Amino acid sequence: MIIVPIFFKSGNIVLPGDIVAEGNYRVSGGVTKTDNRYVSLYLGIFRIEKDGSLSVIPFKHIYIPEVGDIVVGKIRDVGVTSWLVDINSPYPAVLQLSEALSRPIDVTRVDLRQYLDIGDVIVARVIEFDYLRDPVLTIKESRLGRVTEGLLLEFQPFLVYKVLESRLKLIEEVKSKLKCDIIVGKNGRVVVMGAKDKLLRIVDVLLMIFEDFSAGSTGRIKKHISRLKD
Amino acid sequence: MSVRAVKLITEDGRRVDGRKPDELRPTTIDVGILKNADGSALIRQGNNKIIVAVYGPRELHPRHLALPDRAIIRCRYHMVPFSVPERKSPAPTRREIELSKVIREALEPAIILSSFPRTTIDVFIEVLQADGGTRTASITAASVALADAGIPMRDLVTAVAVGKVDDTLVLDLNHLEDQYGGGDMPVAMMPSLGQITLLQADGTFTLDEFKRGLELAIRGIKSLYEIQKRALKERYASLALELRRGRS
Repeated sequence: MIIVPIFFKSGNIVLPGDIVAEGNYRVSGGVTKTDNRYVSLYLGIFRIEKDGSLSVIPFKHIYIPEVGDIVVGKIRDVGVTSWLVDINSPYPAVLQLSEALSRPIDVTRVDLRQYLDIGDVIVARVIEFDYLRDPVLTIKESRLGRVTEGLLLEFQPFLVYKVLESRLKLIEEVKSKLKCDIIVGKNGRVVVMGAKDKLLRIVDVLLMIFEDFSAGSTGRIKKHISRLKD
Repeated sequence: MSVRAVKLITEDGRRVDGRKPDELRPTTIDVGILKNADGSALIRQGNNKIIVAVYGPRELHPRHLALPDRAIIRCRYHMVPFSVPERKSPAPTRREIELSKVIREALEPAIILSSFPRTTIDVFIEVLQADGGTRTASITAASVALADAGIPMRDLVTAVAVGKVDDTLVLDLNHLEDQYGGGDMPVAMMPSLGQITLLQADGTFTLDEFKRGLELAIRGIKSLYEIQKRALKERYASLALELRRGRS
């Protein structure tokens, strides 16, 4: 076997332009190859994934929609047959009338504001996106739609990425323990619904889940959750 | 009234501010100083003080400026009225418009623009206090702010000027040396990749002077690069520590 150098340890902070490795590796994002060298593209954390591929997870992640993503959006503008939705991304999303209501309405008579108004928060799924056109959303599925009451939290999409990858179970536990609904949008927004009187405790746990990634933190959080009472 | 010629370099080879010819001005960079911006940096290089704010990638208005296959960069270099001894009108001057373009073109090769088609990355540079070499200091700070904004880049961009003072090549000119010296050559490069993104010169340089000057600039860039890296790492090391400590 040929030994090829890797210049950083998994978990190190790297900068754009840092040469992370030389030779032949698989790459799973945040790294580009020029000649024989692998160069970091972001300011972030270098990782060697379980399959041996190299990646850099940026500290400030810019959310780019992908088809299938669940996102939490805010209505930015109301059009004649569509809504414009801010999804915390460089690309504003479009919610067409046909993807919002189950039966057709007469747009000449009905004001769309009575369904969704500016400032409303929605949970939606991205059903279409390429770089030439803005992302298209749908709310015609169960669990999707307008959030009538609850709490909106914003995290760095980078943290959400980490949570979705390894801590979904913890969130499920919190949900069943405190009988509330938590929706984690890929775009860094999290909605907590129900359980008005328990909001503080839920936020407390969520902050631990989303922001504490120190050694042994998962165990500590698990213990904390097990002590929670409804 | 007769004006005495300015003596820019002493017999023992010291410059007006006491530096050796190949010495940089003391430089510090602070990262993430503006809450509203996606990325920001404050650079202090000698008496220069420059703030850079980066916004984006974000939606581009007016829409017709958007490119279908990549992002565009809009860069504004601006000197505040109190940045120089005599009040400077806040309106953009020819010089500022040109420098905006020059800085934009120095940063452009480093940024992976194809990652964000149809968007814009806005770079705002405000010179709070100017003392020569603001374009190079702006480039150095802007690339740090871009990295802070989480924008993918091939490398940081670092810049410094070399000049000629009484036939001696000097690094990192201050205002006096720039005004009364025999030449000025700003250089910007991507240090890790070893590629030059900006090379200007005024005054006269012989081929030999040019070669030595470029070497001198590259040496200066290497040490500024370390300052940039340290600034970024310090900022995020403390953030990572905060995350690690968690909440009790």
